[in-house]
Amino acid sequence: MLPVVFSVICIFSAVWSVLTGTGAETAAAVLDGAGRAVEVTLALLGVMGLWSGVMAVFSEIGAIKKLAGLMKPITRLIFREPCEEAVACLAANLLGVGNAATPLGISALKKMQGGKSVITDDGIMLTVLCCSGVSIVPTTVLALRGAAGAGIMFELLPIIWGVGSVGALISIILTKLLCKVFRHRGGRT
Amino acid sequence: MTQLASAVVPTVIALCGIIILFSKKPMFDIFIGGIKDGAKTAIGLFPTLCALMCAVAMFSACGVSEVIADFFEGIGVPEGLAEFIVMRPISGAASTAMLADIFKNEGADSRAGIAASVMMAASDTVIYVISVYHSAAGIKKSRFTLFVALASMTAATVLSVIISRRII
Repeated sequence: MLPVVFSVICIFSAVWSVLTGTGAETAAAVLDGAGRAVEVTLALLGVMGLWSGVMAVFSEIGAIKKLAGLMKPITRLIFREPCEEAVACLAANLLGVGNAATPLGISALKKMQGGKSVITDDGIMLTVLCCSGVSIVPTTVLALRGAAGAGIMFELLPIIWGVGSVGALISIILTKLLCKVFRHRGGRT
Repeated sequence: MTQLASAVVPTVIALCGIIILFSKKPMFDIFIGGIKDGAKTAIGLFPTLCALMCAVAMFSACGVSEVIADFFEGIGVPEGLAEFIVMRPISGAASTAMLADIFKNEGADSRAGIAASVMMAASDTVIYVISVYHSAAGIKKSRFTLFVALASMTAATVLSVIISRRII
């Protein structure tokens, strides 16, 4: 997917910028983007490192396994073979701890893939659920609204939960459906 | 509630400290080992991020997002919101900045402010998440992941706009 997305965006933007005369801004943006990648990587380095460390401690004492066991009735409806990391990743997403979910999601995905380069059905499910990002307390939005002096604050939460749940539900149903339609040839996935 | 949410992270770290203090195993070494693994993953992400962020920066600068935004405004999306809708799946930093702009220009309690808040909280940077996860896990073929993610995001977006019209 990434090669296509990358190429399409770049070619399209370059052609568009030449045609509409935004060439100078676009040229500057490329260098800016490369610089920003360094900033993001450095930020991820700290945050992902820290959360991976915390998760290593919690999984050593068996807390992750316990959580996975508790959530199994739900996760078994969603995944074929729910693994501990996937459950922890979804829990972190729900709590809205942002980047903490990333290392968990990646290690869950690695486990589900088992080295395969074509994504498994469970892998798709995990990725789309991480994308629909339902969180109980959306900290960034609440903080920004607070800073902007918004009158409507916590009344918004039920709406956010509702819309987020609908999004997640659509993701689950669509994935289940498409997995049935386009069954992957690689055997059991 | 915001206080409660901000207490989650310190509590988790404190719990970690308690475990390190009272466990018989060399927990601090395990903690450090985990950090090392996480840092390795993050470093491994740099090449993908570098490529992706250059492409995203080009896309935001070339001016096409304004044209798409005009189209969205044409079909009834509140003004100021359209460009946010275009950037939301592509860039987390850009959409956060745009959300703050919408609050400043239209007001946080305006139609656009409400819709953007719901969208920001109920969806994620789809293209970024898929790229990062899949490149870190060594996935070459994503099958229909992007399609499902974008379809569900579109539904959430439409829903946010409709709801913002009903409550304001």
